[in-house]
Amino acid sequence: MEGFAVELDGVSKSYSNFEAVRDIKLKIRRGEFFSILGPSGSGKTTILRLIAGLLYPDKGSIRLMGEDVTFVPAYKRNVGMVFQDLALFPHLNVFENVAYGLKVRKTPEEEIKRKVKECLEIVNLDPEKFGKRKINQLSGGQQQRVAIARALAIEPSVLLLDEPLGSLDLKLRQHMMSELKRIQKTVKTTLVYVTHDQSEALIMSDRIAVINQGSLEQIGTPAEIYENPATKFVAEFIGEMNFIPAEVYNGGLISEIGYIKVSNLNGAKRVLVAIRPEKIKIGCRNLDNVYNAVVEEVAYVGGFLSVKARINDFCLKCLTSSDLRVEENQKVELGWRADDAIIFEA
Amino acid sequence: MRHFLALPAIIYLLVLFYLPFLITLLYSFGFPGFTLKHYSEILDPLYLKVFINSLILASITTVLCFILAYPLSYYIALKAGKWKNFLLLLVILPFWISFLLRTYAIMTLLTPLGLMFTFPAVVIGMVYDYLPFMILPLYASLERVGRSQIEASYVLGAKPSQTFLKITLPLSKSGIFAGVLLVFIPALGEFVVPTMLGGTYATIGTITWDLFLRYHNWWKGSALSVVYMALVLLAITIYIKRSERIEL
Repeated sequence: MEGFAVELDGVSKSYSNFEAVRDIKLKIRRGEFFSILGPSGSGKTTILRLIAGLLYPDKGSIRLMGEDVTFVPAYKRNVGMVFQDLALFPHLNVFENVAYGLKVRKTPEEEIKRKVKECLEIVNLDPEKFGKRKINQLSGGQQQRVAIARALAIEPSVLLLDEPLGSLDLKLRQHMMSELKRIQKTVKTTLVYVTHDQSEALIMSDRIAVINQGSLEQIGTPAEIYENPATKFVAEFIGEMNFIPAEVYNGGLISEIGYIKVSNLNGAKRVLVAIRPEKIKIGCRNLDNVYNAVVEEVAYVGGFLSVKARINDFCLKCLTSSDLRVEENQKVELGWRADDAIIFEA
Repeated sequence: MRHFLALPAIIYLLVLFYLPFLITLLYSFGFPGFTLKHYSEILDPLYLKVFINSLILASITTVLCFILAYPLSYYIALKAGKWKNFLLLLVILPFWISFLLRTYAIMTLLTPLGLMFTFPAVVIGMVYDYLPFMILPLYASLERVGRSQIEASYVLGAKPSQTFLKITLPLSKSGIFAGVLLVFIPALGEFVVPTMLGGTYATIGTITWDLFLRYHNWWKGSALSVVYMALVLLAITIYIKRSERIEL
């Protein structure tokens, strides 16, 4: 299908004394797994609630499937939403929960039965076994599945998920992540996923929007966001990053660790050189930047060594294969390619 | 030994409620002799009228309390935001003043209106005294409903009116149940408000009071009390059984 499922154009929303989101522009493609990633309080849930119609923006417009819905109430929008606390109806059983959206639409009884069964099967819950169960008789993971089935039953134009995996333990979370991917492929719906967990967003998404303090920092594929962060915030928030303050000098950079060779300077006088821990190679001289360092700390992280190395008085985090033998207080040479560093204005 | 936690209260109730009730039961059968005469006297239409009076008063009180309390509880639980605790305080505030004093105070308000010693005066006084007992359990249950279930209903396509009937109201069922019990039962036996504000409006409460303390007819008063208790017990049992079944 062509076109966009969700379009936000210059959307702002303030609460009584603070601006929750400011001038958000987003175009989410049909069938896309789109994540909104940001720290807590960054306004990502507000964006989701604006799309759902639980809030109306102060400025800007919102379109769903090409249609302007800026001030259309939630119950006329036909979006699916999985709430952070799931918000299942405790007085209804599993079948009735999933059927709720169809019931209020006055769907024929036979159609409801068929659709509920189908949706429960999509989320891998046996309709025969679970249909009659009360919500409080289900485990956390099963409740999650019911919440997803309930949202899918109305065949929403977009499925919104508000940190749905936050309450699950790590193993179950990983399992539900692959389940979500599978479900999205099965129903081919557009999925907007709000999370503060960068690994969830990186693993699952087609594209990610990084939000900070109510503003959009960057939109891109997981690889783009990780490898070419547009702002210092994105660089810091996604993955690990070393930042080295430096000043421009003779077409290169002078810093606490010495001269740094970089491939492109954007004209700023004072900059931050950002380099990922895994881009720093230990014991390798064939690089644009090579420094003498002392190993401060070595931690084994399953297949990798996380090494803290000191150059003069500046500490760098490095990630290297655990095949490499390094010990604390060992003198090493380390370095990186000029292309691997990213420059931000300080 | 695990029973000792319950012991103090059980002893308290045994000595101060169940033992006196046993005495009442004995008196109702004509203690120190034995007769059913006091019970047969109570079958008099006069007492039936009193029972019906009490039932009408308690029902009107309960219904009015519910009508007033539900929107307020809904507002406090789901819409009041930062004013929630302050509003709850305002609801509880009347409890800081003695029930008797409040009823006296309402007399000074009703007198200039020319309402004293009328049925409306009794109803006004009853609703005034019992309203918090309806508000608090309703508030507690609506508070638990929470905003997200209501929002989930909207997102699933239910209009606000549908959401109220299918989600909010059923989820506050336990609060409605508790509120109705907490208001209806004491209202049925109430005698202070009808005595002070109602003049001649006779309820079970006022008649029992009269039998014991004005006519010193302990036997008939006891019989009336026992019948009253039996009826309340029956009514509550039916109510509880039915509430369990009703799917709102």
